[in-house]
Amino acid sequence: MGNYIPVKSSKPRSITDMLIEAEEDHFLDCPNADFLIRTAALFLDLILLTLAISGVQKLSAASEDYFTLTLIPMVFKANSEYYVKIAHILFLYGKYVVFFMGLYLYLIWSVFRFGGTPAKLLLGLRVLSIHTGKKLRISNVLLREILLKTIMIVSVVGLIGFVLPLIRDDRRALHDLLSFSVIKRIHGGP
Amino acid sequence: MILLVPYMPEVPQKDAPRLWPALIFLLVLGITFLFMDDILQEDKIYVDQIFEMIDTDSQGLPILRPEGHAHLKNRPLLQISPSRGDWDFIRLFFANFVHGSSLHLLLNLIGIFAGVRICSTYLPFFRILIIFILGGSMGLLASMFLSSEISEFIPHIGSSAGIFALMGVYYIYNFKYRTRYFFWFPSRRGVIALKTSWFFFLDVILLEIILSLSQFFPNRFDSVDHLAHVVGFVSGVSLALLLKTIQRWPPFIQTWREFLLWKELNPKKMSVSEVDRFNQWLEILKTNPYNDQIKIKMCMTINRLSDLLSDDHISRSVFFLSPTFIRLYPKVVSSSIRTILARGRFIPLDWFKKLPYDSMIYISKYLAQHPEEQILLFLFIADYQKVHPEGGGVNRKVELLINKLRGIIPQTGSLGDSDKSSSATTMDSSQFKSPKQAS
Repeated sequence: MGNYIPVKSSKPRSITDMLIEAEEDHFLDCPNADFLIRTAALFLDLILLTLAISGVQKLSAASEDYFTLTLIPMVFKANSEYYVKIAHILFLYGKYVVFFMGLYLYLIWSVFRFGGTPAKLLLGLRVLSIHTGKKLRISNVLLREILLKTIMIVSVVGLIGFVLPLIRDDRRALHDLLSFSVIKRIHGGP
Repeated sequence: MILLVPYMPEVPQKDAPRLWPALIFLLVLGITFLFMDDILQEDKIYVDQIFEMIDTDSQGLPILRPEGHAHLKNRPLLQISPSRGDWDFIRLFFANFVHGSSLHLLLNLIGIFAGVRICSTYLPFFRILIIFILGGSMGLLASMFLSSEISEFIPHIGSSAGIFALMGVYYIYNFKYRTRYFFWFPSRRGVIALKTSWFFFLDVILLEIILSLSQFFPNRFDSVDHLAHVVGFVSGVSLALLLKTIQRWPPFIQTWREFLLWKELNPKKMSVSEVDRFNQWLEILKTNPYNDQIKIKMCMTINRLSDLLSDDHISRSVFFLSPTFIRLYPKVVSSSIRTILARGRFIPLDWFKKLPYDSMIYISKYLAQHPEEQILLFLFIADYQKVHPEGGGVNRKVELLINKLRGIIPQTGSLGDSDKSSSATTMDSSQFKSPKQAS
């Protein structure tokens, strides 16, 4: 049973606020996601990211080819080499901007805003605070998704942290433990 | 599409796609590949000589010398496949079954298996075959005449245009419903259901539309015939719309079985009363409980005509409001529940027993949006609490919720009157005029 006790607030609380708290309480009672479903979510995330990245890459390559080989030589008949170089630089930086923005939206913003990456949401999983059942704050999301996971991947020993859900009763990985989060299975998926 | 494979529409098991039409297609494509292997090998050796006949222009683009065009005109593959400079209808139709390499064949086998299988939910085998050949041929034809190519004797082969035609057919027939996708995870968890209208479009065709634009330019960056895919898809969509118009297939019917039942219940030129129509919704939902469009229509009818519907109608209809439907359409469900409660109609206790706690919360959130109707919310929660045994996990959660709500109920006045406040201690189900419960 959830232990959350609402903090006294000077703002009048509405029935909707109560219902949201009840839902968060209920989430704390839901089972923790096991290793298999977490791995399935990771796999699906990789597929969705691959589709998105390859789509953006191909679109970018097609646009770059069109601009540098057809449009720019047609418009700037003299001096086109200079503009082609600028186009190449713009496309190069543009690709990185789009790539990192996309990653931010997918891995950080979706966890903060909706409680999980698209694959987790599709499989009925939520990344929640272990104490309150609420969605994580942005600082916790950044800690969990970027700092802790990067350290765990880079340090080989840290990779063991990813398989902790196999042996722990609470099915939490190392990055869950250190960021005070848990992945709950709130429904069976769509 | 290869990574996330459309597996079947979300339909009951008895309407699940059949395997044998897809297996026949696999067999035909495999056998054709084996028989054409000699011609393909011969063509490969023949075309290797072409590289000596290619020059480059001032922009670095390849140009074929006149002797190169003459050389390509006689390539072996053109005996069984069309090109812009040399084609006929027989080779055009046959090209749908020919593949240039084993990798090309393998990728298309996955696509044809998925495409034929999902279409078999709606169409018989020969219609699928005709759509595959017609749609595929239109895709190949468009690609032949619209692509920018080094020579007019480049053969166009492959079943991918036909596969996209089948995808177009499926997209139209299953547009408002969900598709189950298989994502190569070796477990039951490797299947997810997603709305066809947007995800199928994103996964199957959006990228193809973008990439097909590159085929109008000489310096295309891959050898995949995206234009044929897009035209094949559009052909499939057009053929499906034509077929549905001829069949008079209603937009809220998903499977063939439902379509036959609908036709049986609605003989030509017979008008039907609203209540009889409601009975038809219930009959169709018995056949396919996944049909969300009919559930939405059923809920809208409850909102409009609850006074005309009997207690039995309402009782039977609420059982089709599954947890997934409540999660996806909470507003629709809560407006029906609100109408039922406001009219003092029956809600079966068994439905409350089966209703998960989070579904109750979803409905309650929408019921709470209208301050003047909060009494209905309290009735709903109180009735939910009634059917869950004391001391159980759900009962404890509902008690906690009621205690929280008690804290914000106004101190004086009577419940249900939004202008006056009521005593906090009167938050108890026995205080409400609860609707009669059908057991």
